[in-house]
Amino acid sequence: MPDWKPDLRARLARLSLAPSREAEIVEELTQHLDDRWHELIARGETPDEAARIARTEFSGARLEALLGTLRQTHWREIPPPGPARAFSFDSLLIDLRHAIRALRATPSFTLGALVVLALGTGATTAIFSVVDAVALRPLPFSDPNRIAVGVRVDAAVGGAGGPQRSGPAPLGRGGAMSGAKPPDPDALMSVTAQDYLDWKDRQQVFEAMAAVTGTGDLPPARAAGDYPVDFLHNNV
Amino acid sequence: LIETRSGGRLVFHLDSPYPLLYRLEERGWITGAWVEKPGERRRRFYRLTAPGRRVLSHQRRTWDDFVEAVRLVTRGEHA
Repeated sequence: MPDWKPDLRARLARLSLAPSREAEIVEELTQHLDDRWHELIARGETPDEAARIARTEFSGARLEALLGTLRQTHWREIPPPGPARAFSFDSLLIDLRHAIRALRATPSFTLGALVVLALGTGATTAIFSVVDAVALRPLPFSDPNRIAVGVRVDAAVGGAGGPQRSGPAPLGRGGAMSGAKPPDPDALMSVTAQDYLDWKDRQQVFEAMAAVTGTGDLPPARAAGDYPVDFLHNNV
Repeated sequence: LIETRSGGRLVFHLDSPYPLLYRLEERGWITGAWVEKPGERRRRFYRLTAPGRRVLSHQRRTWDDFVEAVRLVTRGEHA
């Protein structure tokens, strides 16, 4: 059987086919010519005559002309990436102008990207503001690590020591007694105003004390002036 | 197949149908795939795609209309 491939490769070499695509086409056309050669042999032609007829029927110039109009014959090898260009403001301006043109050419995409960016930036800012205020920023006092919270703990529920043990406990961000075990929240009891005043009079540990009351904890008739000013009303 | 169906009136040689097949494939009207069978060389078979089927249907109607128009013209003198 004749070898058709050299002729076919010579024809296709003038076209810019991708190497893999050229190999496929050569294989397919070779099969066609082989089939045609076998067909002619089956009709009674000699092998040489069958090869001559098959070559006559195949016009390489016409094949080349017809294939040359296809998109796949305009393949270009992608060059390997060259060395990085040095930075210059000219190239930056060119890139910026290109980006602006590309964004203006696709307004819906640009709008969508802006909305997503705005929502993302807003959400991130909101979350960071909360984290900053709650966890990162120190308390607005000097030496916040010396601040402690005095609580009354019900020992029957979860506190240590005797019943209704009172004293400072490391609550809040400024808890100074980092080595102490925090009381069970269920064991926390409210502190009466008189207890607080007694603590304040008798304690010799803290430089100053203040009490915080919840909303409505002070009887209205006495809230106006009967309590000292260090009862801070917490309306939150 | 073309030669058989046309009763030998239409004969295509190698240089015509394959560029045509590749063009139809580029347009997405047909798709080719290599099929391998044991003991045989692999062969490439082409099948119509959905867009190709629509184009073929349209082309057939256009061709039928054209043939009918030519028939009416060429046999008009006998009408």
